Amino acid sequence: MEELELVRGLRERREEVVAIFLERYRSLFYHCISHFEPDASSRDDLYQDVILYVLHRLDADSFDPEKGSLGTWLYRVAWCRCVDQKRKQSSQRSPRLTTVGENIPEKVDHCPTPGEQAGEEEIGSLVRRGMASLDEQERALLEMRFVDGCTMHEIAERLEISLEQTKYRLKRASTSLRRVLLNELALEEAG
Amino acid sequence: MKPERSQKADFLPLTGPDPTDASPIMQEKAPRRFEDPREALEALLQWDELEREELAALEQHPQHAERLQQLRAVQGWMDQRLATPRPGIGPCPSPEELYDYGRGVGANPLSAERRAELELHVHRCTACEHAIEVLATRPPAVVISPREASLPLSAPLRALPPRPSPIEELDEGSATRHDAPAPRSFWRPALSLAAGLLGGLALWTLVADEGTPRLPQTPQLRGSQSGALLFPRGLLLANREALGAAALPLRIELAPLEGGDAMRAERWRVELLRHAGGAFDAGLRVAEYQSSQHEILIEDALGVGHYTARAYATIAGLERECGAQDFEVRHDPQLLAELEGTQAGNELDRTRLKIRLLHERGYLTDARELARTLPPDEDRNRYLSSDGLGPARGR
Repeated sequence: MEELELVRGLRERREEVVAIFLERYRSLFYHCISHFEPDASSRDDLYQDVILYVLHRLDADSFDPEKGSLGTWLYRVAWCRCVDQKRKQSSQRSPRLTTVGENIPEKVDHCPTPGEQAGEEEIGSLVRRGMASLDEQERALLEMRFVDGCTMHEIAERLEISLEQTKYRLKRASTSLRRVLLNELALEEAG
Repeated sequence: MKPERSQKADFLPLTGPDPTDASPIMQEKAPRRFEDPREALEALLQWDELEREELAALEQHPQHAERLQQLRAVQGWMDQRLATPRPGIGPCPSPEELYDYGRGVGANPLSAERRAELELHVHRCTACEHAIEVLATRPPAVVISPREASLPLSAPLRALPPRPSPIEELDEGSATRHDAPAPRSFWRPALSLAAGLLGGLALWTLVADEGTPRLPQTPQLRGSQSGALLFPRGLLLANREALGAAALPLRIELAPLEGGDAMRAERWRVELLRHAGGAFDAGLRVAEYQSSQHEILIEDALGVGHYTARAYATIAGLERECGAQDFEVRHDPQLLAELEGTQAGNELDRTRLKIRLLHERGYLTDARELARTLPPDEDRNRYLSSDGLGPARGR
C-alpha cells in the first residue's frame, strides 16, 4: 500500500489500514520506545500514547510527503513524544515549590505522598550503603553519575577516558552495585 | 471516528522481543524458569535486558520476585536522579531541536550558533544526553508484512519462468576427442609472439622513464566518495616539517556542490572531532573552521590521534551537512627516515620520489600538499586534479 493511501486510510480510521500501519511500523516504534522505557509494562503504555499522538498529528495534517517519507516523519514524531513524556514524568516527580495561597491547584497533585517520599529515602539510603561496599573506582564513578548528576561527557573528561570507556565502566559499576544489593537482600532474608 | 485523548486504545501491545530480531529459533526458545541459583543471579543482574517472558517468570518466582522488585525500585531511584534537571543549566531545548541536534533520521539543519548553544546544554544535561544517545542507533528498515501481500500489485517483471540453458548431447566421436591429445593450434605461437612484443615494449617504456620519476597514478574506485569533503583523509604525518618544504599547511579541500548556481555555498564550515578511532566513537569537537572558499588552510599543528572532519555548507541561508572524512595524525619515524634518505639527481626528482613514497604509504593528504610545491606541468596537474578515489573533479 502506498504511503499516501495509508495516510488517507489512517485519517479515515479504516480498520484494515490501521492494522497494516501498526504491523508495518511496529519495529520502528519499538526501536524508539524501548530506549526510553526499559520496563516492559510501561513500554506498552508509552506505545499506546505514541500511536494516539501520531494519529492526532496526522489529523492535524502535519505530515508533508514532500519533506520525506512517512517512516522518517513517524520516527521523529515518536522520538519527540517520548522525550516529552519522560520530561513530564520527571517534572511531576520533582515539583516546584510555590508560596501558600499564591496558586490554588486545580489538577490532580502528582507530587509524591509522604509515604512515597519515605520509600524513596529508604531506597536512597539502600543505594548509598551499597555504593559504600564497592571498590573506590566504581563508587567514584557511580557518585559522579548519580549523586553529582554528571553527564557521560563530563565523566569522560574528568577521568580522561573515551566516552565508550565511560559507558562500559558505568555499566560494570551498576552491575556490581546490583550484586551487592542482592547479597544484602539475601542476608536480610536469611536473618 | 477520531479517538479521544482520554480513551484507552486497544492497539496490540509491544509483546515479545524486538520484532527486528525475531527468528523462528528465538520464538521456539522456552523461557527459563530460574531454578538454578546461578542462572537466577545472572538474570537478576541483567533484569532490564531480559525478554518479556523471562521477566514475567522472574516476577512470578516465589523467591526472586521480591528481589526483582527491590532492584527495580533502585533503578527507578537512579533514573530519577538522572532525569531531574540540574540547577543552572537552563531550560531544556524543545524535542524537535534536540532531534535536529542529534542528527536523527531526516533532521533539519541548525545554525552554527544554535548548535553550539545546544552542545553546551547537552554536555551538562543528563536527560538530554540520554535522548541524543537514542538517535545514535539508526531505526530499523520498515518491513512490508505478508498481510499486505494480498493487496493487488503491479504486473510481475518476469512474465515467463526462467528457461534452462540447452544441454548439448555429445556424439560418440566428440566424446572420444577429450581423451585424444589436442592438435597444435596455429594461433598459439602467434599469440605468444604478440604477448612477448607487448611485454618488451612495456619494459622499454619503464627503462626509458627511469631517469625522471613520475607521480603515481591514483586508483579510480568509484562510489566510495559521495560527500563534498575530499581532504584531509587517511594518514597524516605528525611531523610535517620533515617533508622538506617549509611549513606545509594542512589544507581542507571541499568539492563545489553539484547543482550549479542554485547550490552555491555562501559559507563552508568544518568541524574537527577527535576520538579514539573506534567505529562507534562519537568524538569530542576540538576545532571549527569557517571560510567562504572551498579550500581552508590550517596553520595549527594537530596532535597525534584519530580525527573526523565534518563539513557543512550554507546555501540560501540554510546550513546542510555535506560529508565527513576520517583521518589519523601519526608519528611515523620509519617513514621520516626513508623520506630523508631519498636520493635523486636533483631537488625536483627528490620531491617526486617523496610524493610517491607518501602516496604508497597512504599519506595522500601530505603527498598532495607536497605535489603543490612542484612547478606546474602535466604530471603534477593530473595528480592534483584527481581526488584519489574517483574521477577527476576538474580543479
